[in-house]
Amino acid sequence: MIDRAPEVVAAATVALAACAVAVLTGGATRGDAQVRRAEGFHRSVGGLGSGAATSLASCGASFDRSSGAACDRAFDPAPGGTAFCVLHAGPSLRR
Amino acid sequence: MGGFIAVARSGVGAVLLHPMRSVATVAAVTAMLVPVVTGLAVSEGLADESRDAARFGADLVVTGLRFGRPAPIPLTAMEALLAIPEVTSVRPRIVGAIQMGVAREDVVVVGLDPPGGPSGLGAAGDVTVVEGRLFAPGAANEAVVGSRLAARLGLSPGARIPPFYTDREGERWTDVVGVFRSDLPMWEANVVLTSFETAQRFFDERGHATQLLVTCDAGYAEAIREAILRMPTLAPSLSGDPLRPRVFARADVEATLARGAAFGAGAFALHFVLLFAAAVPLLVVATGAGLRERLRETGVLKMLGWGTDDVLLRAFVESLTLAVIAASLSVILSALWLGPLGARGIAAVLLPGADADPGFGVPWRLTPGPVAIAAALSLAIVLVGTLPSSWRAASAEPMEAMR
Repeated sequence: MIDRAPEVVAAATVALAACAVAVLTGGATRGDAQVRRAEGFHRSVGGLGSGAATSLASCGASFDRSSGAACDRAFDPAPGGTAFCVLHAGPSLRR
Repeated sequence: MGGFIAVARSGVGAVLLHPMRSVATVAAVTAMLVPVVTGLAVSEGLADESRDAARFGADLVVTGLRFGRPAPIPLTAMEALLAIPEVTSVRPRIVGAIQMGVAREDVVVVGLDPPGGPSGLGAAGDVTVVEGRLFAPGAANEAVVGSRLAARLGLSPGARIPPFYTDREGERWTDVVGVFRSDLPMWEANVVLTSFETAQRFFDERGHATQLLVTCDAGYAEAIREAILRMPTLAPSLSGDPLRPRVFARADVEATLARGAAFGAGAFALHFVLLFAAAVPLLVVATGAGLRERLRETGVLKMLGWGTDDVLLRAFVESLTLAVIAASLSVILSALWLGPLGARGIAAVLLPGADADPGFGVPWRLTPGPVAIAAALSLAIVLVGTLPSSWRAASAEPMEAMR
């Protein structure tokens, strides 16, 4: 009797990969409705947001680049205080 | 060719020969990849929404600078900007921070009057962005609040907020006339959108804006930007001290996005650190703990006449199969986490300030590039764990391997 386990594993792997590709295909595009909702919101507020923050409290520049030229923590609590900013400090001091 | 396929087939079957080892390897690699794939997907989503903000916003956003830091702009500066040829409109906007509620929730107040009155606000075609309505023309203290803020403060259309600010003309109750939908760009979460006049009252400011939104004829944005930047001050009549102009254009968004490969790169970098930290025990398991089994298995194969190349090819196919399974699972689990599960748990890691249950739509988009990198990383990790032990086993004499 021939052991069909390799074929079963290969088929399951291909099926899983196909599912991942399908998810990837679906997740790689934005729907028209999503873009139109974004348009409605940004027209309401004049275009707002460009960073990972959802308020001005932590870092204005990370909420909306047009609102703040640099990280707020660069001056507060001390000059060079960017290391205190949760949005700029960490393993990568990118900005 | 037949021999190659037979060896490859054996490699695929090897996944089931040592189920615990295979499961441990797939689980470890998946656990490493999911946060990275998820983070990169959120990064792509944020970049998309940032581009939307620039695309649907004003052509130019003008702010004032004093000591190199943002400063309020007198509304008299609007006349100077309107005098520049090809400028079609200038709208003052207030974007400021306050706190509301017992828990002192951080709120972003946006005060802006639309060009044609609020009736045209908040709609793009047949899409509505507000549950309720937007503030009425001339109505004082009407506001639309963000979805997260509404949930935290228990607000809904029709709710009234007691005075939360101090103003020279006295304080008023604020009527919540609408709530932003939670499937909008995430910056709506803590926004209170109101008229420019009401926003002035919230901050007890008169005659100033934090930004001027400039719209111009197509193709003139760069020239107008240069003209504004040449202005020595935005407020010549107020005092001798200059208020330097700063201009943010659509192109600046692209430049910002290009400069930073990903938003919140610190968090993503942390994931990579965690990834390699987690890779250490995986490699220990795959190379050290798996060596004995692999030695015995390889000894049997060599006694059956397999060559070193065959053994290595078999190990490669086994690793490839495990890597494909792990990478595929990572993509599927990331999509599930960001989609149906609403990024619960990871939102607070990727977006500082967000709650574990964010309460707003976390932007995300899975793109082939990051996934391909994740898959390659997955294969590399598994290969590093498998090939050295296979090589050592294959290089040994069969009797030695069997012993």
